[in-house]
Amino acid sequence: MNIIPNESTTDLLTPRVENGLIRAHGYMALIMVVISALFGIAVSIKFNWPEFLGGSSVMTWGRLRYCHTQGIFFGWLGNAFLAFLYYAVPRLAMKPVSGRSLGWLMFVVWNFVMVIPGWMLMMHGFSQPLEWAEFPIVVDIVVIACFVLLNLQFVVPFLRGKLSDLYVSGWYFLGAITFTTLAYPVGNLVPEFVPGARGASYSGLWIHDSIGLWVTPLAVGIAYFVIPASTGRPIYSHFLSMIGFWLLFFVYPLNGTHHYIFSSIPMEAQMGAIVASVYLGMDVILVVTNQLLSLRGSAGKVASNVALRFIWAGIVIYLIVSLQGAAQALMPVNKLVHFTDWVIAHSHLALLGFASFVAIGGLLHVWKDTAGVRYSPRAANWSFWLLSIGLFLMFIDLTIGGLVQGQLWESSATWMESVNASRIFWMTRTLSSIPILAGFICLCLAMTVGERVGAGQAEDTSDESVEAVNLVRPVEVPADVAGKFAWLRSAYVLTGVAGIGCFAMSFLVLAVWPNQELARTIAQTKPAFAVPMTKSELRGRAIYAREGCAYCHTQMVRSTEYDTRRFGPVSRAWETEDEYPQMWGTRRVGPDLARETRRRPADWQLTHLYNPRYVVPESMMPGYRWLFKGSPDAPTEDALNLVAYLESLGRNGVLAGLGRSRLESTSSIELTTGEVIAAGNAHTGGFDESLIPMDRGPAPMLAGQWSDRERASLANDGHNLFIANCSGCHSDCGCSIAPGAASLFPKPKDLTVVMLSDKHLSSVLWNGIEGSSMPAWNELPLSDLRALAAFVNQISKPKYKHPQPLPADEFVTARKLYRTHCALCHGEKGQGDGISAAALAPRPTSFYDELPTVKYATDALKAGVPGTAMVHWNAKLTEDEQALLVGYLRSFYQNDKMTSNSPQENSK
Amino acid sequence: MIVNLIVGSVTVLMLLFVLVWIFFPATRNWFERPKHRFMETEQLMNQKRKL
Repeated sequence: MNIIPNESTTDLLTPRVENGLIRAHGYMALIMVVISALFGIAVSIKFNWPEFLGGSSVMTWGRLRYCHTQGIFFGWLGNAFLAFLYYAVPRLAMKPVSGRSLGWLMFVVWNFVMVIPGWMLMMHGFSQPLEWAEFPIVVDIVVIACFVLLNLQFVVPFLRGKLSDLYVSGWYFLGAITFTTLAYPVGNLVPEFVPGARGASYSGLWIHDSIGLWVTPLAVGIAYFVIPASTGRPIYSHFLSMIGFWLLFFVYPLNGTHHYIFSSIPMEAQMGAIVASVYLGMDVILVVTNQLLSLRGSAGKVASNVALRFIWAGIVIYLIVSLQGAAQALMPVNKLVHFTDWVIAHSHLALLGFASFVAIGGLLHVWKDTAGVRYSPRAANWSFWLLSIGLFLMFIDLTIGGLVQGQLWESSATWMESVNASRIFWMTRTLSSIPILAGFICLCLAMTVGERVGAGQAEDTSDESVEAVNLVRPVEVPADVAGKFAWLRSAYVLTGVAGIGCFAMSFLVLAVWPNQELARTIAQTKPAFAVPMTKSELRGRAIYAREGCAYCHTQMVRSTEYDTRRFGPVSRAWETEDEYPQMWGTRRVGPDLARETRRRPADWQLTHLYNPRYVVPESMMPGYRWLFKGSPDAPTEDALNLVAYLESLGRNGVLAGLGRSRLESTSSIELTTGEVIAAGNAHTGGFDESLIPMDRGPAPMLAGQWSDRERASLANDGHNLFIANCSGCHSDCGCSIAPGAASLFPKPKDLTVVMLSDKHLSSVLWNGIEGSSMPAWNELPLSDLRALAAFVNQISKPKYKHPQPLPADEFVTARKLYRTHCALCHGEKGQGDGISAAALAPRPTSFYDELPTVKYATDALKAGVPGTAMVHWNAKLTEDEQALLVGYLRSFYQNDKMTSNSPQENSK
Repeated sequence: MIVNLIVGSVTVLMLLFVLVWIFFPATRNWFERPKHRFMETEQLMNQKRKL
């Protein structure tokens, strides 16, 4: 038999419960969850139909994504938790909350000064590109003010009671409010003032603290409250619950850096976060075991009581999501799944599965006891099943999708292959939102229709104190026992102080110390010649941030073989030293952009921004048409600034020679060999990127001597590949210029008017054409490239006959004209290697490798080639001279079988 | 590594509580008391509602 000490609740008054505030926050939570879910659904639909709600900057993907996460966090869960706190805190502290007026003030500020204006601001481009910290700074100030008010409202009543008597739920609520008040400013404000990698060590902490110090403790506290209240039996072990509580608060703050494994944050901090993550998984096993043991023998109640069923499902999901989180932090798993949809599945399991299920369970539990509201158990039951089905479908779908993406990213598959493979998963995820939205609508019905609760207890709404009845049997406690362990009463206080100390220590260990290490490394390795961003680039950066680009495109090449091979040299800490705040990102839908400089010309970038499918036919990126005045060749200043910023990404890395197999000293300080090694390790965790071949070498011969049957088969495959990869610029048949190419300079070639030698065609496909929008396609498998080459050959070669030699007198005149007007760029022998050629991009045409039709060559002479150094010659050359030149330059053409110059040239 | 030190210290601290639990059985009631008090409060509040 338990000995209940003689300090009982006998003499206590039941404290006032603010039913009006419970109702207000409850109803607001319902409104917010539906709006936030609609934001999420719109974001999900845009994966399948990128132009859905397109054309409006307010409704673009990135801005809606910001609204979705902050809406769920503050709008839905915030209001649901607050409703529960108004119900639970008076019961736990046996004191009323600090004030009703304060409560209404907080209600108004929380919703009408924080969440709704926050949404409006983010939709109009005022935001912060940090995960779970998207509200702009002005709203951050309101959030901090709200948390101060939360402390006044809910923490003060606890402090007026005895902490040694405090039930575990109270501890969780206390911890959530006080620790989040401390963590929020650090994660949300510091990265605005501490740049790049150094800022990331702070924002990484908040990504996890937002869940670990706010959502998790409140949800676990609610579960510990509702389980005994619903079953009528105390929890299995209060001792274990407190061990779990302290472990959680000691260890959770140490987890955050696991979001940046393989980054330039010092490896010690990364390893520490991994250790803490695994340790936390063990703690959650303890917590959930205790909660499930508390439910033993209550299967019938779990089945019949919807609120309790939501709680039960929530804690089971809590176990799954925590073990999954611990596994994700392990390097081999992290290497595969990080940045993939696996993480999105994980976050939805945490926020929708665990937190929302428990919050709903708590709300329904409160609702049943709140006078003046309506409650429908039937609708609540529907809500449970619909949400469960939707969540299960989404979780399984995105988890598999993430594994597929991870595998493809590790392979030599192109980026578009991973996008195409993801489409089915993105579509299924969108479909899963139907039962989820229906589930939330049922929840709204459950709390707004049905029978009125407490209709016969109208007086309860007056919130008056009532004298307690004598419920507790005073139990005699031996005096020696009471005195002997009196010191234990202060043990929790001491542990609390240790907890706050540990929390402060976590920031020292995972943010302040890595910061100092990074500052030292940056000072050692940052090149003196590093170019700061221009004003235009900084303005472009602000646009990149407000549109949420960082949520699809990371800017961090991790120190893994796969990242290095695909995106280039590992990102160095010093490279983001001008970035306030950092935009490393946490997910890749599109490719990493850390090494974007020099990869694409500005006209390609502008066309891509206007309508990505113009140049990448299978792209699922939304267009940003409001950055243009009606067409891609009429960009606004914003578009030009954004492109300038994209062009600056990785520029200093190129200047510093990153990616060369032999590292160059980029420091102005003389370093010892040991220091160089140490600095290298600090950057890459010991990963040696020089072992990864980043240069794909010279172009292999892609065209070959195939039989007609083989050639036809290859060309057939090539046509499909051409449509998928090339049609945005060259049109489906390669026979005209696609509408999307109107803004590209030089224009993509009409492949039916220019025949390329096998060698040149191979080179163009493999290396692209510098100075034009033609990218290198060497990511494609060789078999695909061969098929593409066969298709291009097929559409051009049948139209050509070998040029006829010019008569001798015309040849002499033509040669003279050519040497006077053309050889400076095109070279004496037409190989595009004139003395001016090296300075030109794109390089002058090599007539040795390209044979234009007579008409195309004549037109080029008459009108020039916009976007290149080729000017029009109409004013300087007569038509006869132009015709002579056309015949002469066509005579240079030799396919790869020929090793010498033109026969005619040789004969002279 | 400082993180390991923290994790180790936390483990030791929690082990101390467990040792107190094991070797001083009389403390168990003190540790478990809040859960009984919670149940009493719930009863009390429910009674109040029904009044």
